[in-house]
Amino acid sequence: MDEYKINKEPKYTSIGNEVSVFDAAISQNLPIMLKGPTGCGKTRFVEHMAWKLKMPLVTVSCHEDMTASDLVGRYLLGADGTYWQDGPLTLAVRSGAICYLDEVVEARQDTTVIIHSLTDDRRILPLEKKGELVRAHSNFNLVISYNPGYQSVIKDLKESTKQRFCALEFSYPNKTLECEILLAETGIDKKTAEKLVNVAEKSRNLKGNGLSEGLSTRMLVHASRLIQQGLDFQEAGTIALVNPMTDDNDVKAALQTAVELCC
Amino acid sequence: MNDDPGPDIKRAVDIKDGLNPAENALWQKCNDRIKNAGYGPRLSNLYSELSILILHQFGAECLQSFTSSLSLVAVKASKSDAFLFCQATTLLIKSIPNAKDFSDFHEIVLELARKNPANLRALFDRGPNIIRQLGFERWLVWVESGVKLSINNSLRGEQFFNLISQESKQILYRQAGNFTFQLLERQLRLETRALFGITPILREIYDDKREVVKHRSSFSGKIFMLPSAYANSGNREIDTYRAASFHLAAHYVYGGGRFEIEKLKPMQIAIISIIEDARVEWLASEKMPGLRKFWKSFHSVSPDGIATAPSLLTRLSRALIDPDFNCSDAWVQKGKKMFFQAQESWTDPRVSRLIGNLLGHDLGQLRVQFNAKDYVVNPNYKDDNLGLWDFEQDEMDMSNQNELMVETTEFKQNKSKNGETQKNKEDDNVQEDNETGIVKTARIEEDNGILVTKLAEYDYQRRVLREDWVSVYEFKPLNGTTNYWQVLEENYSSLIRRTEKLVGAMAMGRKLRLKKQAEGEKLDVDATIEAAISYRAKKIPDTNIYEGNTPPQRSIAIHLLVDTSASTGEKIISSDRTILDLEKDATGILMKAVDKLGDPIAVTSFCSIGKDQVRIQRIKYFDESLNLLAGMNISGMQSQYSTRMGPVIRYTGESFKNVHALRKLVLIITDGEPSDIDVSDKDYLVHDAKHAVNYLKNLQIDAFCVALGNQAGERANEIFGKSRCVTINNIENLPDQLAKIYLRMTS
Repeated sequence: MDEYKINKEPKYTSIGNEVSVFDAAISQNLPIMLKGPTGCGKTRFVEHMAWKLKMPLVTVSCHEDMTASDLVGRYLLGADGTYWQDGPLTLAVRSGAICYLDEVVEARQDTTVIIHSLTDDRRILPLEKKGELVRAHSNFNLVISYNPGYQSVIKDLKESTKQRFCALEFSYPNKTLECEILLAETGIDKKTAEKLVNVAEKSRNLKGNGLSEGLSTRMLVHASRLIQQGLDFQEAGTIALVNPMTDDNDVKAALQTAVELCC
Repeated sequence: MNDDPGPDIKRAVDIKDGLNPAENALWQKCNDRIKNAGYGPRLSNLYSELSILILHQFGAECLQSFTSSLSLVAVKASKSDAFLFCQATTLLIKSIPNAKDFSDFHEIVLELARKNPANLRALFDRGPNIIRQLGFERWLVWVESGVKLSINNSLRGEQFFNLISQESKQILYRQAGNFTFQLLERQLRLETRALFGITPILREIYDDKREVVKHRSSFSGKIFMLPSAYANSGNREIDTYRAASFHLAAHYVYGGGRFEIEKLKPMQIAIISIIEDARVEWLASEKMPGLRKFWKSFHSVSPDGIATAPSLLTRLSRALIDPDFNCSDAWVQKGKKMFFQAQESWTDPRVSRLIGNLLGHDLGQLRVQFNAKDYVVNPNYKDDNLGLWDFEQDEMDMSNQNELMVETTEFKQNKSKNGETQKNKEDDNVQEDNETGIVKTARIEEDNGILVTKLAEYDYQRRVLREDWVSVYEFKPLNGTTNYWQVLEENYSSLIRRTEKLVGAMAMGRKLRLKKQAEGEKLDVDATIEAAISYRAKKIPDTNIYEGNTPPQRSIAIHLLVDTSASTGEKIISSDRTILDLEKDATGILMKAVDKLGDPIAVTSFCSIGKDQVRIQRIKYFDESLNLLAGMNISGMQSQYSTRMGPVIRYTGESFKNVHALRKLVLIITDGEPSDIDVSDKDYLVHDAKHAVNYLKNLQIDAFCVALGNQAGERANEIFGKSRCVTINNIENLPDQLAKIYLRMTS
């Protein structure tokens, strides 16, 4: 499992008591759900915690075509007949890693139910096709993330799934903290960082008015990096903040105006 | 009509000498025709010279058709109207760019002369003046709209061409700019939302009494009123709208309550308003430095010039937003100094009043004349500042703004009646809804119809989409019988069972087994054995050894439109039942089938009484369940009036806005071709409906039609295309066919 260990500290600026809460939940093997808008630092936080706790981290990016076999494993055909190949979840369960199911709501509901037996006091994973019952390693922990913002009625976690988790709510950091993050991540000057954060604040006013979410901290980091490469503020803003967000011309105009008038 | 056509007539004499023999002969022939018709020497003399200009500028064909038109006006209207036509043409001829526009012009005038000659005088009286403001092409669009509106209604036409009616002003002012309020409304709302965190209620002003170029925005709380167009803004029309919206938002966010008028004079009011404008703009610019630069770019007044009150006020306005503006006038300098010295107090609105009072007193001492009636705030992005002041009725001496004031007062009264007397920013969201309720909810008609929207209509002859042309009223469905579903079940039990089976088969057939897949839940035994044989035979095996299922793909929403025009009340041959009865049954069966399938369905019935009243009844909406009420609504449908299809099709486009479905369908059941009482051209409504279908296509909504009878089928084929139209000749089969057609469409 060495390849799943994180050796270099991922930069993470704490926005509250999430580090101590995560510590507490992991120590009790409680499954954790990270809720929050895209790009606010959920994945970075898990990486940071895995590094801090010196635990291997198996990350699975969920998608709607993902099947239960993609998680638990499947029979493959080899030269001597079929053989079983563990999936990432089984791997983490056997070896005692943190299994992080990113954007779990993207997976179909019939897929996500397989984690039920792992997230109650049984902590077991039945491999039906193989006829094996895997008992979870004492260091195994399950973390899932999902973004309540952009999911439609169709995409939601089942009640029976939700109620197995402790949930940590993430949101965009406050202005000062967001500036600090930009400074720490990219080394950009403070004045430019403040302008970028100001644009992000304006864009978040459009949530529910043409945008399902405002600009993320991650996008601000991208813009900062472009500015550091010599692009001027408006150019970087258009490329990193306006263009990726929407194809709706009116919304685009509103974002562009925010970029232009905040500098 | 006092304009002197002299120079053109003098030009005509010179041109005549240069005509070739053929042109000369034609000119002579046309002149003889008018002279011999006995319209009098006044007309024939004017025509004699005008005809040379037409011949020279637009050619022989135009002269001939113009001569015929003139004769017709003289016969249908009067000789004096014909003279007026001639005189107006003489005045307008220089503004008409080419032969095509000339022939459009006199065709429209001819139509008016035929249908409503009494309106000719009003048209020509105002023509030259309006053309000067708008240009010929836009004026022509306005005239054409007026001609269409005044058919069979001379009073309406008179009000239109005399610029008395609201619709006339609305159409006229929208012609004044390239970028109108309508085009930019959403963008402005979103931009204001982004920058200021508020969602303003934007309204269009089109009844401003002032000249088009003097139109200014206005506000009352969160209701921002913007002109139909910012005429003469050069290439900055969009920017002017944006600057105006941001300025109004700054007033809303950083302003205090309304100032009391007390004993203030109009000049003091104007000065205090300018200080307040600058104050809120500076506060808004603190976090958005680009905003001040943006607003500043509109201030172009020069620092020097004659010291009239309007010019001093405009210079003061610039000096307050642009600290680098060095104006030599002592009064402006004083104002600037006082304003910037009070910088620490800018958060307090009282500072505007304090500085404005002092400056107003000083300007009064200088004996500078201030005419409140003619005063217009500059630059043009600024508002008229009525929203800043708490006017009492008897204090309204700025007569040029009376109309708007009345509107504002009415709004305030409405608010009071609803118990909402105070602006409460803390309760912003609630207020927004309530305000929207007050302003947006259209007036309730006597028979409870509610104006829900105004929609465009396409004129295929002019190739113009007339915005806000058709009024759509929603009427409450009439309550029919409570046992509708029960009766339907009794009459069509076997059909309903059959349809349900059909639907069930569709639902079950949605998942398909896929063999030989690259990945999947289970091994495909056949493929695995084949692969194992290949392995052992030392051949390259096929690695696609899994099997799986297709995921369920169905995601369809449908809006069913039921034509309830008068013709649906006709009985079917050899039956006591009407077409509408069968439409009701078919609707009910389809609704049951679709409900079973889980597809969201909405049903609306429609008919019309001219463009001003397209009537709809919402039988069921997407999120409503198929209950007793829906049954009562279906059975309550009644046959009446005409069929105007285009607006209803456009309306359904709006209805899908909050519906999440991969595929969106509109299905229309109709028994005849589109027709209405105010349209004589049969092709007009067909082309409009076709345009509406294309509009839906652009919204990725598919429109289908079930036409009842051959005649309806032919027209429906034209509108929807053959592949999207089913004609049912034996109308009695409709209940049986409709659900099947739907399943065919969606499978």
